[in-house]
Amino acid sequence: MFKSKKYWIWIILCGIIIGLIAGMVMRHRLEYINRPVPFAFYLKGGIDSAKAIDYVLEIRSQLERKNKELQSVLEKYDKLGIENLENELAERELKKTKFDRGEIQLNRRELIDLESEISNLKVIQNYLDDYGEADAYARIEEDCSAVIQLEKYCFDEIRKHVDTYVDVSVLRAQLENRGKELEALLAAEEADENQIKKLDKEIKSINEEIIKKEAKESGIAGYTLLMRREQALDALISENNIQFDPSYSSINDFTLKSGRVINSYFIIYIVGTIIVLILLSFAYNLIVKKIRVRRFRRLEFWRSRHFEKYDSFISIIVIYVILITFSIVAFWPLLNVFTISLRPDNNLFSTTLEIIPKDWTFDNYRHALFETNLLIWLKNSLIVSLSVALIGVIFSSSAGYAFSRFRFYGRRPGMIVLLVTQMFPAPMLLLPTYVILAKLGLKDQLTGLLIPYSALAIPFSVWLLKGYFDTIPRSLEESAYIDGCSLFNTFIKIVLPLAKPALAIAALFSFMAAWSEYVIARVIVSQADKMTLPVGLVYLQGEFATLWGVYSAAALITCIPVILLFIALSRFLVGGLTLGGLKE
Amino acid sequence: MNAINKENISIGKIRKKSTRFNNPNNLERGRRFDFFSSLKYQPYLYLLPAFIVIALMSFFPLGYGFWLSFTNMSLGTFKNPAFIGFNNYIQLFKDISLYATLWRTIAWTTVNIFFHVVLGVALAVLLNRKLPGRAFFRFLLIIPWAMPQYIAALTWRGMFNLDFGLVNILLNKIGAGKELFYLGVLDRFPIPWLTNASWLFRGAIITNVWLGIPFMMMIALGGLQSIPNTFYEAADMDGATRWQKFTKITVPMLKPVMAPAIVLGVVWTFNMLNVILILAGSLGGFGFEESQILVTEVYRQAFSFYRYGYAAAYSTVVFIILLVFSIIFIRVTRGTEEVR
Repeated sequence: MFKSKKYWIWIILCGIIIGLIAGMVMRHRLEYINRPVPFAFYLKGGIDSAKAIDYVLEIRSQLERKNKELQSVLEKYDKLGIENLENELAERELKKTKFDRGEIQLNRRELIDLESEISNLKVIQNYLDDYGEADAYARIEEDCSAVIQLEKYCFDEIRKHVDTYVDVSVLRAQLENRGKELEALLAAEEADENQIKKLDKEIKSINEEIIKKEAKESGIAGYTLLMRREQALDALISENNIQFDPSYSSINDFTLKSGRVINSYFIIYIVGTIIVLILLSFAYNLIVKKIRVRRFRRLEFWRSRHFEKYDSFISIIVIYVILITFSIVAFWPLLNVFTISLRPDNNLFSTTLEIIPKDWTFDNYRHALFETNLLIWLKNSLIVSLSVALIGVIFSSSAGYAFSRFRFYGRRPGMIVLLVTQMFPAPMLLLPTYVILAKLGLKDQLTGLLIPYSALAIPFSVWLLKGYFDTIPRSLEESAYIDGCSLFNTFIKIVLPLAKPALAIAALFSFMAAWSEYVIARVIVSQADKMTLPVGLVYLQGEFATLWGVYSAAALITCIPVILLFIALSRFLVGGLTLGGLKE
Repeated sequence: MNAINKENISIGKIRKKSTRFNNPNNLERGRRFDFFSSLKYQPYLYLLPAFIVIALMSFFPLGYGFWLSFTNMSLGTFKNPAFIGFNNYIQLFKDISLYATLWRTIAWTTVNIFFHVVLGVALAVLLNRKLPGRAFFRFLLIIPWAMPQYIAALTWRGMFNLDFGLVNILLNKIGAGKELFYLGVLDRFPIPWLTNASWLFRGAIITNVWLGIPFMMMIALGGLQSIPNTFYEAADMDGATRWQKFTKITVPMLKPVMAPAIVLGVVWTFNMLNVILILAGSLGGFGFEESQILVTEVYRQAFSFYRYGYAAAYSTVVFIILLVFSIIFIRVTRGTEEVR
């Protein structure tokens, strides 16, 4: 086992992946050190200054809070010592639970004090867990000053950024130069038109940039606030006599330093994982070798009956993991719609991941069904889609039969034409379609939707059915024909019943195409009572902020019939989906 | 009618029989008799209804669009557009943004189709094994296909929301966002999926990959199930490894099934209008120029700038690109089949 190259490759790959994940998950204790790192990147990303200032304000407030917290932790530490820390914490937590149950009364002030004390004690405990009793105090002190330093560096960076960002004088100078050049060119007799155009373009773009920058200048009202805070910070530094660590001179040094910390963490995790994996595989081998013969026999039998013959247990697990992951990814958006549809109006925007919200209601469904036109849209869509499915199947099965059975002039070009129709850019078909339907007097009518939708659905169905008809042996039809059945009758009575799976799939796709088409319907239908579901839903969703929940409920109502259809027909999907293709 | 037809056939049969064995093509096909070839006008009758619809709704518009591309039709000249020759095309090819958009479209199509095919075939291979709960997984994996496209796109739009979207929340919760950010993979966090052009484009790719996998998966699954098991048994006898079995049996047998699906997939992806437009948040066709592909750009030109003539020229170019690609692809795949 240890000699094979494959084994080591797998172990190392798994180790790296699991180690990286573990490193990411376990890294939360280093988090505040990393705060400036995103910030530096943020600035490099060329974010506009107003946003950058918002960001730095947020970081600043976090750092400030952190600093205060650490200060109070230090005080606590001085007062309590660490011996009776756990007792104190337990005592306070007991008090809190009592208050929660309503056994004792506390006023607001006392409650806040209690909560902050609990959190402080927990912070101390974290430090103790991380660094041990000997180093904890020193560590807290160090972090205290580090936070202040970080804040200072934040200021440096934002100042630099804002100053260069708001400065438009350079651009103005450029603009003036270009203007002079242009004038000179225009004054000259034989002006080069291309050059003039180019200059014009440049002037325009510089002008735009200046306008943009000046607009953003108004967004930096936070700037003065920042400066005030910086003065306060300077005072704090001189007051506490904080010595700046000479090894970091800017934010970038912090980046590098925290980078090193993290990398070493990752390496530890990766190496640890690899060692664990080797041990596990060793143990597995031992167990399997010893026990396989006797006790695993029944298990082995079960495995060979339900799985492929040569699958080991590990590969079975890997297959399941992959399938489950992809299934979750495939399913999650639908689940998300479901979750949002259950949320009450006042809780639409939340950052929780729970699938069924605590205060779930069916209000949105009620609203969607009875206070919007959803039922009318549903009816319209059903009429259109069912008729399209019917027309599509009839037309395309006869066409597919012709392509499959007959050899006639124009057969191959005909097949290619069907493919070519898929290549037309949809937007360009819109205007002519509109013109035709208006001329035919079918605008604003459901019948008007039938024709373009059938044209959308037919080519793919023909391809599909042609492919399926090809797999049906001809001898059946031939013998029926010899027995006196007409060609049309053989088609109806022999070929179509045999092609049921493909017909079902073709009907499904025609239905789907009509059920979910948006662009054409939007152009052709403008009356509210003639809208189909897609148009209606997008109209609902347009009022994003207010009707998001209602939209979700409506979307789910729209999805469910199609998904049910899919489930019902899914046994045909595998066999029936043979694209006839271009090859003979 | 019936009797006449029958007689025709029998005559045709005899007539053909006399030439059949002289013609090597017929010998190769090895059919004893082929009554379908003697019915000269039948196939056109069968084709008629479908082709009337297609001609009315696809070819007339195509011709109309082609004519439009030589005129200066816009909102102002809607009633009486003037013929301006190749001016639209000249203007189009002079525009530098066309080439950027073209490259973006090619990238969009390649990335999408690559993931569709690779993930689709991989999942199909897994689903084709003997496995308890296989039907359940198949049902779950098919859902993106069963969801109407616009709902899927709107849902993803909700999921890409900066503060309350699932994607950012998830990245934040597992801490991966910050890590990737730190490693320089992400240039900012939380990710502005909908308000930054390049992130919008990436989001659209994710959405479209998610949408398109099930189609390829089901096609591949159908192809896999038609491979006779004896091939694998024979390979097992010869001691082939799994990888060898996959590359030497599965892939070549899947090729003829996947080739037309890939052509269709490329065409559909190239012409995918819904995802980008809906993600960009308005079907009025705004959104960023840096996240448009050719088709959405056509839509923008036509329905938000109302330059119908120019948009028609644009779409003609798109159509020709697709046509050339399909012809080349079909030739190439058929070429490989013959060699094999």
